[in-house]
Amino acid sequence: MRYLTLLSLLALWGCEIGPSGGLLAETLVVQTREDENTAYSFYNTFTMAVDTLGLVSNATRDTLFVNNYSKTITAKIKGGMQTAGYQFVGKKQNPDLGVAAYVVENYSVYQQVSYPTYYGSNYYGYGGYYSYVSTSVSQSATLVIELLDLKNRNAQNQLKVIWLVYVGDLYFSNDPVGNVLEAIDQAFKQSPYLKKN
Amino acid sequence: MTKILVVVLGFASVITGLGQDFRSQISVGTDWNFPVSNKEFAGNVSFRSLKIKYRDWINEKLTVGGDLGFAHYQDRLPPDVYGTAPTLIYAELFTHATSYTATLAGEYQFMPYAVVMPHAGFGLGVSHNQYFLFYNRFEDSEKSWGLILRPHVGATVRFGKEATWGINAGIQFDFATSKVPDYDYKNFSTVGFYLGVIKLRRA
Repeated sequence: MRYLTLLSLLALWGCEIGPSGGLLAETLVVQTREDENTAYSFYNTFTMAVDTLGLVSNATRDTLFVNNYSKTITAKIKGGMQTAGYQFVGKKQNPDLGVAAYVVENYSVYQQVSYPTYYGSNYYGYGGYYSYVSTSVSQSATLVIELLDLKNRNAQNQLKVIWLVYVGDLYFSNDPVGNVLEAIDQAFKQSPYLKKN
Repeated sequence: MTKILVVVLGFASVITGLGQDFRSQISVGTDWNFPVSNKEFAGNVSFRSLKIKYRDWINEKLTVGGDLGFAHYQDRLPPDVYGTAPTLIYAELFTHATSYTATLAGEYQFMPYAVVMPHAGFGLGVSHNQYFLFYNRFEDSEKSWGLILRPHVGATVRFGKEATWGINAGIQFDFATSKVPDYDYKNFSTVGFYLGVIKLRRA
């Protein structure tokens, strides 16, 4: 029995691992993808919707963010493109590149009824189980930035994404605005090919 | 001359505790493990570990039995860019590795039944390692099995010449063949210092 207790202690102590959520939320993950067939220096101008962010969500029918958050984020992206050497123009001024920025939000609720254990007899001598309903809510959001080649459409008039950025998880952040701004800076920093000579 | 003889015999009786014999022993303790390979993944010392050792005394010089234990390693790698073009990922990585080991082991007892009983031995068994990568809310994990070789030296220090309780301390080198190609983890080697409490059982 003593040995079993020691073995149980060994197993239990070894199982519980993982950093705290607060530490994990200090830095957002930034993923960038380059189109290796694109010469980024050949483009001169870009356009994008300023002040609004697209929204793809299963939790709301809204399709746009129009608030200070979206203004701050789009201004940062616009600034990053200008720092890379591209000139911002209106969408009717025949831009070479288009920037699409939107948030993909996924909200899910999961419920499960559990019958965890037998807990002994009740007053009348019958055994019984108790059940409980556990509900878990999961919410995640990713900022997606797409850089589209507006100059070279294919035969089906489709646009090619020549730079793709994922920033996440926006809900798992200690500083939702500051961390996203840092992440956008990082996206440009780790994409040195995105530059107008 | 007589005084010298009395002192020598007295010292010898304290050190050796002649006339005793043991049937088995069990030790529970912790060890501090220093990774000597794959430090890029988790290079910090493991302070979270537990080990249980059981031995039978098969004669006056040899003990054989088994060890069960685990050691947990963790590290925090500063934010950096990972991957290869065209896809790059910037993240702060929290790396965790837990090594569960089960070995058959034996020791040669240099001074059996003494208050201080030094020994040297060897263990052979299996290790099951779990590796975790945490970054933001994302997680990746791998598992692997391997053989483990464990040469070790140490000593049991009893709390007195008649005592069956004592302290068990030692140093060991673990070499496990566990591999995780995705993490470029070729083996799992550590140097560990063990410290535990030991209970001896007389024949």
